[in-house]
Amino acid sequence: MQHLFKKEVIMISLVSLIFSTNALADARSQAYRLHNRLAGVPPTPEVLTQMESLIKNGNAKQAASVAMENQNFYNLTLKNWVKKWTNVDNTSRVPLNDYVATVLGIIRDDIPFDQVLYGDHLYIAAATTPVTIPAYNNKDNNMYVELENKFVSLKDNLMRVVQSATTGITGTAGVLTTRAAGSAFFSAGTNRRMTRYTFMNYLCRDFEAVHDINISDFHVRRDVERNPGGDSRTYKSQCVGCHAGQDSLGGAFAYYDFADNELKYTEGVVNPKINKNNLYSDGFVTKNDEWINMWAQGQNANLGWPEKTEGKGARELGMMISRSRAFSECMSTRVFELVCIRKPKIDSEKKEIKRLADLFQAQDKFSMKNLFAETSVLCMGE
Amino acid sequence: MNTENNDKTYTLPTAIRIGISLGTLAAVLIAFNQCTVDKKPSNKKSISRATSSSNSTNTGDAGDIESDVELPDGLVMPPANNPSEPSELDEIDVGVKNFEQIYLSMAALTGISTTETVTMNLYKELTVQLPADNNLKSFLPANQVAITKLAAEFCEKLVETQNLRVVVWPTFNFNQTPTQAFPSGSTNKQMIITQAIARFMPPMDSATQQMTNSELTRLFDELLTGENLGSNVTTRKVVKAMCISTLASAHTTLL
Repeated sequence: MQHLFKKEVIMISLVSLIFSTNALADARSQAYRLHNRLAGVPPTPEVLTQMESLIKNGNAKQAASVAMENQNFYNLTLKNWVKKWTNVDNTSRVPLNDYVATVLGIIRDDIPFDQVLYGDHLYIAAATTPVTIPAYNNKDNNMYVELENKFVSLKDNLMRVVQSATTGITGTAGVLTTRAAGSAFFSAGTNRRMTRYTFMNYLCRDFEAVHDINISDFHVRRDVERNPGGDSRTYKSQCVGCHAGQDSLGGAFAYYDFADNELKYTEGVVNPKINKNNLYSDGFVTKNDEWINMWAQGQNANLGWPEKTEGKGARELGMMISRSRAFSECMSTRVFELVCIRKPKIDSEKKEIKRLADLFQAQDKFSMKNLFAETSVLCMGE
Repeated sequence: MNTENNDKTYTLPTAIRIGISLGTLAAVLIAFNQCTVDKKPSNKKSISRATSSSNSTNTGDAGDIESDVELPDGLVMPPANNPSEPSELDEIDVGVKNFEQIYLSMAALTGISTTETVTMNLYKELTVQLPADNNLKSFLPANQVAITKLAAEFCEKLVETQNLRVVVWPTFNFNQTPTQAFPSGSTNKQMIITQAIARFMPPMDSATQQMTNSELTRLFDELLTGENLGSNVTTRKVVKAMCISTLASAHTTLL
């Protein structure tokens, strides 16, 4: 069958590709695009008609909300969006995991999204899930793999539980202390990866973007060579720019490790790997989980940090990050890029990002659903 | 050398000399503080901030994420980094569905379950050949081949399953031969095409719809040429081709 029609089928596909840009963006087309962008799949005729009617009546945001009711908003759009945050390769070709499920659950339940970095939340398969799913286990990811393989509706079958009670880890900090995050960012190394990827994923800035050699480096640890290549100027002009800030924050993760396939938390005991390497004896020795944000001063003060810029543990660090202005703007930008499939480029779009960030953090609601609805109507066509 | 001046230097009070020494030492320590200073957590800042609400958030401007577009006053950004012409500001306004979006879209449009063994197995086989993300610029011919293969499997299942195909083509008799189903003057051919477009493709303007219809009609006629027109298998093959053409088209796979 395929061989018989192969040539013709490809020909038609290519012709259709050329035609595609001519689609008229009337209310029905807008509704179709809105649904496609939010749910990742075309709407049913009934839903399309409902959304078209809402758009015609000037209620595009409500139409977006209708599209977000489709289970594929969670199973497709959000899932693939968040998967990239859970691994160092920034790819969505990884299995579903507890990190992704927890973000999806927080959005579904409209829990203020800033809690993603400090709330004691975890989402697991509900007992009422229509297919057989393995129980949650600290040592494997089987529950989530099965949920994905069996195409279970994540909208309908995720259940919130208290993370600390479920995993036994008292120092929880939202998704930062999920098993998937631990596997990706706490395994081996010195846990600096967690700080870096938290900045990349939630502040939209890698350390190069916050590089500042003018702040004090009293927190730079012993494993950072002070004269790399025999030249201390390299340290002073380059290394210190990232290490002064990140090592000051890194104390928050001093008690965590990922070993034996599970996240481990040793309250009050700094994991030996943190202070293991000694390349400079007078460097900072981590003795507890205190941290201070050295980037709150100087050129990075414009990230809009909250009042509290020092504290203890991952939870307080997560709270500081998620309540910064940069977090709100980063989330607005990410949603824009997801539903508009491009970066905000012109000034008016950048102003829109600021407006959306204002809206996002207004009255501390941090409603991700609302952010999606507001943003998606900007890109549904004219 | 002036002996009188030297005498004045030597007669500085001891307290001042100690002060100068301490000041010099402090300056050295500040200049090379990474060596010795171990800041205590309970500093002045922590005391002043301990009373602040940890829940307050900042508003305003966190700066441009792409900070290289802002330069200090007086410096002008080179045009290459500061687009202003309409052509420079043009953006691709569409994306392509990723592997999973394509699979679930086809499942939704055909009504075939996502857990249907045949289609699911082929999807797993083709996953890496399907588009990895929504970036249209990374779309390759190999992606289109995979999309077409997957659509072929969905259409095979759709056309061969009575309760599924009746949703798309409710009145067409699939047991008729081409001679019976598509005699001269029959509207069945246009019905098959129109209903496939309506089911699988997004809303489109009349000109696009007309062009698509013409192409499919031409394909329909070409496919029947030289085939056994006395077999209902040929009828189903042609309908499958209409299905594949529309289901695998860019109209369906673009986002």
